[in-house]
Amino acid sequence: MSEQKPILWTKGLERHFGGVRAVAGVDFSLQQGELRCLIGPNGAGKSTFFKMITGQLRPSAGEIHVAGQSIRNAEPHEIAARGVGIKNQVPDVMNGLRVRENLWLAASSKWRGSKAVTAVDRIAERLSLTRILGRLVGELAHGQRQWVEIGMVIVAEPKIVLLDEPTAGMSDEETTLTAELIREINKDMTIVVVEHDMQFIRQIARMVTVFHRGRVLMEDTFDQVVANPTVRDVYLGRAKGG
Amino acid sequence: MSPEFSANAAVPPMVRWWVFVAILTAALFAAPYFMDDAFQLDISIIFVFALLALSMGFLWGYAGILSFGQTIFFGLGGYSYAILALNLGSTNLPFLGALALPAIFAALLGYFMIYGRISDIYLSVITLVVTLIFEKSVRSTSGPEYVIGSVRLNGQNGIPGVPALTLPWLSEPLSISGVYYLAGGAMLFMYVALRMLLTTRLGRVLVGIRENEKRMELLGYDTRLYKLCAFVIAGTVAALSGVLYALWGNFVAPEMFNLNQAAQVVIWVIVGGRSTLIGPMVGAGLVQYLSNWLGTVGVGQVTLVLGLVLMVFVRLFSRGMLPSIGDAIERLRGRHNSNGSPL
Amino acid sequence: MIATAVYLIIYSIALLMMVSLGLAVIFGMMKVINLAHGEFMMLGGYACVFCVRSGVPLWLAYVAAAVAVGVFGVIVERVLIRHLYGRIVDTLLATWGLSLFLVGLVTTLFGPQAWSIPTQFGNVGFGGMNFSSYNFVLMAVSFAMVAITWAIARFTTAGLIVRGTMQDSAIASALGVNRDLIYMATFGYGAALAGLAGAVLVPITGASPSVGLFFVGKAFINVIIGGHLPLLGTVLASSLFGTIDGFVSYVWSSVLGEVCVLIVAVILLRLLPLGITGRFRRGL
Repeated sequence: MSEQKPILWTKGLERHFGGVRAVAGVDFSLQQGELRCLIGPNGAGKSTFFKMITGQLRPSAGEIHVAGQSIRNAEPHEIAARGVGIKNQVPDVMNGLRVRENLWLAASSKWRGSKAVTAVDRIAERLSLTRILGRLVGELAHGQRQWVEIGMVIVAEPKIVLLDEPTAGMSDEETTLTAELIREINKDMTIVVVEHDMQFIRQIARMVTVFHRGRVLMEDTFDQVVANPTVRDVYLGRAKGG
Repeated sequence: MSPEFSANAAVPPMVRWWVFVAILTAALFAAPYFMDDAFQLDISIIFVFALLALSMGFLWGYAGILSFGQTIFFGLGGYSYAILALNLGSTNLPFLGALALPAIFAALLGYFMIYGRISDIYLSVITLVVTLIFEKSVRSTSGPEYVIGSVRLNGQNGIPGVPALTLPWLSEPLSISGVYYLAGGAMLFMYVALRMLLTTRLGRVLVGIRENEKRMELLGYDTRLYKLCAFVIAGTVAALSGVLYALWGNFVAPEMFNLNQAAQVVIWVIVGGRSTLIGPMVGAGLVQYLSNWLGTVGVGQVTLVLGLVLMVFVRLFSRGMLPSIGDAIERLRGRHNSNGSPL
Repeated sequence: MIATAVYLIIYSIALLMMVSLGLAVIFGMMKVINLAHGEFMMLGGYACVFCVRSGVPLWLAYVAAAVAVGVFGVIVERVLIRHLYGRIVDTLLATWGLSLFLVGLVTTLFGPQAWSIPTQFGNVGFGGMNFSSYNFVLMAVSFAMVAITWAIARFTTAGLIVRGTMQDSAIASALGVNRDLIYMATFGYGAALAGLAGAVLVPITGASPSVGLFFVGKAFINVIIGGHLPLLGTVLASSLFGTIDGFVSYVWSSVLGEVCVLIVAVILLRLLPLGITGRFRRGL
């Protein structure tokens, strides 16, 4: 990783919902080409953090910059057009349309005409979706739908890919395949993954950021984080304060 | 919504569809030779309403926007043509103006609602409120002070004597047959045009937005712009039907803006089903035919029946009559209904 | 002049509160926009006329109208609305169908002309102008409606249950509340309020099939901007729009007043997409 400015950074990022501080001051920095994992118990603020990166939520306070530009007041589609893609926990696709159409719509946001079509074929090939291009997405199995969504997210070659629990509901085999896929995508794109499955994280992670009660608890390599007693307490609910 | 139709909308229509359109066109153009003028008048108005139904079917079924206010543009189109034509004497500019003015209003209204990120329900209610305002406003223009150019708005009574259209390449104004061909031609043309629109990037993005707006935003599309486009397109098509209505009857009246008219548009689409473009058109034809068949009944009875139909259909046939019939047929055939997917 | 303007504005606010409260109660509880609200008012008007023409004193006719429409509301909830919960578009269409049906039915049965009742209310003069003293009756009823609804919600057990169900129906159910019963009762109460409003309006507008359409646009806007708290939202939104509408209608025309209200509403929705009380967590 070169010593360049981070592709994503936040400073003092906060988000309140009424009296609840879902994100309570996060300083985060992501270098281009990283594959970062976010872990933390439920309610630690990871999803809210993601939603502020995509623009679905406005920060209550703090700064947030993507590719050198502040996105505090940007609309979600502007941020997406700037190269941020997100794959949500629950498959968020166009169920009534076919796989090819889903992928085409994703590719078309960036390319026109035949370039979009070739991008679709390329991504289908890469993700082994070619066989099911003509199927209705709503009729696919859960794991297949997840991969269609991943295809949609990466076909337009975003700079940053956010994956929110990509292996939720997947079998072990599918999980391993997904880990392989993520490592492969990482060659071209910066990736941030939120996950609970430690085995999965072990397969992909280099640096891990631990969220707790809306803040970053620690940031270190996977092995260090897993060995840390505070992290274990946090997960088991024994930690005090935040 | 039957995925068969939306899922295939992006694909250019198959040969058999073109054959179907060709047959319709041929039938439409040949029919006047077997019909007298009165019958042609009866059919022409069905073309006009089918076009209006098409505009709503496109907006609701394919762009996913439920607007109770397509009648606004229907009325605006008719009134614009009447006022412009009576003022200017010619008819070509008024025809274009009668499409442009409602389009501009659609852009304004649509901008405020769509860019205001108003929720779908509130948007629907607001279109209803705007319809009410228009009806009240036009109805209250009875006094002689309500004049645009040399044309009195006439409030309750409407504007009579709307001039017939003289096409640029003809020397005579359109006869009854002329209006028949114009209405039928416009209906077929817009049907084909909108069908083809669905295969373009704009059309495909609209369907994507209807399926999952949030996802489309996260893919980088400014969904507000596309929805506004759809709203303006639908408004312009509705305005066209309004102009044709004015040409058909040579008059315009505040009834074009009223709730009965608005209800009819919604009912045509509910009866015909909003998963196809042809469905609402057939719905309009069916409902109109039935109304004619029931004969002249009082306004009250019409409203009563409209309300009843709405309630019954919403309770029982929420997907529309045609799709429900389609479902029933498929069940009888024993085929696994591709719409039976766990969506 | 100022006194006149202030009076007209207060009257506008009271009128708006009266015609919106029923709709707001139903919307606040069940998130249902009852497009037949205007027709509930209309039915209340006709009920009032029937009572008065049968010799019933006016104040009792009000009560009778409220009760009659309330019962009708309960029936509508059971037969139509209950089956459509969660299906927002279908509820909109179904209540619209009901609205058209009722207008058509009344037109067919009683004709389109307005029915009136003789009133013995005189005029009151101040500020150099004459006002019907009935306007004060309307204002009184309007404030009473709000006050009584507030009192019921605040001080009775039923009110507590209703508030709880409104806040979180899942938890209320878990605590043993019969949610269906609450919804039915709330819908009936909202309908009764609409019926009462319609009855009170009879001496001013008469009872006619289209009387609902006259007020319903303003009521919808009021409730949308008011937000999900029925009482606070109605009071606040009515204050705002009553002022605007009262002023513009007085200076120019009623239709222009409605247009101004709509424009202001659309702009406000931009800033507060959930209405004024949309972000309020507690309260009525």
